[in-house]
Amino acid sequence: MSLAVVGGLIARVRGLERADLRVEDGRVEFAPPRAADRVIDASGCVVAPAFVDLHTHLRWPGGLGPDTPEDIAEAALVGGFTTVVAMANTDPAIDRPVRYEQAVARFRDLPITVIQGAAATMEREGSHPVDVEQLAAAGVRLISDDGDPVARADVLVELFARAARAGVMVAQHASIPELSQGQMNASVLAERLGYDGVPESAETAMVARDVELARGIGVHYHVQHLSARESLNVVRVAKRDGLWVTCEVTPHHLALEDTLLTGHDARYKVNPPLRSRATRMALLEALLNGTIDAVATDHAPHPEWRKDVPLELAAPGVLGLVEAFSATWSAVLEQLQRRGDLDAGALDDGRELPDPAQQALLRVIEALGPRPAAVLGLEHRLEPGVTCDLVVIDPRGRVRGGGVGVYRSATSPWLGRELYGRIRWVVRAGRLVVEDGQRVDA
Amino acid sequence: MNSLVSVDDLRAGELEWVVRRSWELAEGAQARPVLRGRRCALVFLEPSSRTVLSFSVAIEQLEGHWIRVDSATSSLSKQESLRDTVRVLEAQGFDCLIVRAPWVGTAAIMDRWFKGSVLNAGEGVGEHPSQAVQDASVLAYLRREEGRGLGVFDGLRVAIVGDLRHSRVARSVGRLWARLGAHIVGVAPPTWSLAPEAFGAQGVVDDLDEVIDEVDVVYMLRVQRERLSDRDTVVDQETFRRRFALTAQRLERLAPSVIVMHPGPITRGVEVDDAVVASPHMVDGVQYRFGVPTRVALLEYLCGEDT
Ligand SMILES: [Zn+2]
Repeated sequence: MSLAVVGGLIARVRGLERADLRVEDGRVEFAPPRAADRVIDASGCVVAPAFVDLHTHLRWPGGLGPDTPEDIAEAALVGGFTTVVAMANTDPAIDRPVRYEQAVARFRDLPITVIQGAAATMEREGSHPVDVEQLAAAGVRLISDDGDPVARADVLVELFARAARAGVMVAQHASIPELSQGQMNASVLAERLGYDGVPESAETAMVARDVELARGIGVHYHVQHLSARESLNVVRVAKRDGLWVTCEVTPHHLALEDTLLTGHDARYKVNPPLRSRATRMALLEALLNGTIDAVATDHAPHPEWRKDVPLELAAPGVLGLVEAFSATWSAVLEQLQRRGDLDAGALDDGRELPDPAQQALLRVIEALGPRPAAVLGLEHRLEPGVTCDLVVIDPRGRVRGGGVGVYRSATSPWLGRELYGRIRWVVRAGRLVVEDGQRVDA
Repeated sequence: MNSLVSVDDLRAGELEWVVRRSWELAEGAQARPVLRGRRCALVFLEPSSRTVLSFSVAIEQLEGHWIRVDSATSSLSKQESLRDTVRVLEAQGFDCLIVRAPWVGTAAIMDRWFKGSVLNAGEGVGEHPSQAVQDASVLAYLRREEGRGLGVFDGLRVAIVGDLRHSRVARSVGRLWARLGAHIVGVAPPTWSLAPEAFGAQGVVDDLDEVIDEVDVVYMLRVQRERLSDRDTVVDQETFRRRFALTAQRLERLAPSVIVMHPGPITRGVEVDDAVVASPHMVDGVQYRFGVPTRVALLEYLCGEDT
């Protein structure tokens, strides 16, 4: 089938550019519409490469919640994602080729592309490295013990060396375990409420250690859900030194703050915890200046009984595939206003997006599509002649968060929040899969 | 119907009413039967026979019915959310929940879903508002001759002494009294210290002698023996006695007007000596006497229609 996308701004490497697109069997041409099967009017919208999530929990095998991988795939599409990386902290953990192959087979017919990660250590126990070479031969691109870090330095050094040789990325949920037993960000508020805190230094100290251990090995080291101000500096220095270090940040760390826990609502319990406003600002700036490679959701559904309980009994993790773009974009807009680079109401007057907002939008789009793809070693850009999934975004559109009708789990931190930025159309493999925000199967 | 989840929810006017009402009740006034025909659940997910006793007596004086729900009968550990627990209690016709739990936030979460009143009777290391209100009543009562009501807290110098970090009493008493104008100082070993803002204090010192000559009230916290040892991560008993206990020697230094309070149960020979308990400074007897009246007054306030 053929599709025409007319009247939109195209997110290209060099900037936003007005052009019409034709998509024929998935191949993108910059050309005026001929007789297309379907014409999409993208005026007022931005056309971008579809999103790639470096951090999703599909919860298979062993998931306890109401959301199946099929449900999560639906949420991904509605959120503009056509590719997700599935974490391996499943039950049992995906730590050996046979389990990896079972997962790949399980996800093969989903309406999204799943890149299954593998655990870094056997049963994620942190003591015995997985068989990196065998897993690489089976197709694994990244390993991580996500949910926990690889805390032992000797284990990590061995993993780095073997992963470097095998061309596998080592992704780390960096946080020193002894300092990470608390329920929320270490702060006066935590002390007031009576919670043990998790300091930002728990993360930064491990990131700094890992970077030093990686030096000279040539491994690709990726920091998952970076949440500490000083971790940004460590990553910056590592990049400047030419190390192969990348990092991701989540929409919730960009948009939400630790003060939300004042009401003891476990929907806001996440690991690493929500941080202070100052840290959130620093993360937003790092997204806008490019230090952060990717926005990744850490989408982690849980059954109600693991969330509607006191924080100490609750499971960490939030929902976020549907809101990833709008939550990030709304937080960025707020930051631009705070800086004085954008007038309040600038998005509501119906005119072109002001230049600072356009630049920022491009950064957000890059961090949700081309750059996470590059972290995975994939070329994912909207240029003439490429085969590329597309997302059409209305940056001025308003949405209400919560994924009502999409998520089965009812524990979204975005529930009831008014956000900017609607995902209107999504094209996967040349077919329309989301139409005006609704899932369709054309 | 109102709830009391945190001392931060209480306004000064409401507190004044509860305090004065508890005085009347302590002096023999009749409780108003605001709970007649109503059912209260004492949701006790952590054992505390004394608290159960004072609340159950209070509910009976108010002519209400009560039933105890404990960890064995609730199924929090069996894949039930707290929300389900609330649904069940509501369906069974309960109007009021008195919540004691080992986890911070339990009362707040139940209050989010429960239509009736929720009263936090102490949770985790978070809050213990009824204790803070009771002790405010006691202190104001002891100085009632001044005719200032809660005004006695204005400028009152209070030392809260002991394991601040693990104390819900310190957090609630400190914050409530600070809001009434008291100047709070914490006294604790560094490992048991707490950010001053967390309990309304202006600072924390690590030796009782630094402040003992300059305070009007010494509020001693209970020290759990298991937290005392000679391992280096906890506090050794000898250091604790030397720097933080209200000993017979320190008792001699107290000005006659100084009041010593303790939420009980007292660990004699650890945080306070027998001589202190026997001295006229110690008012724990008045604190016990106000246990029921304060809870009656609170329930009258929260559950009564015309207060
Ligand atoms: Zn993680």
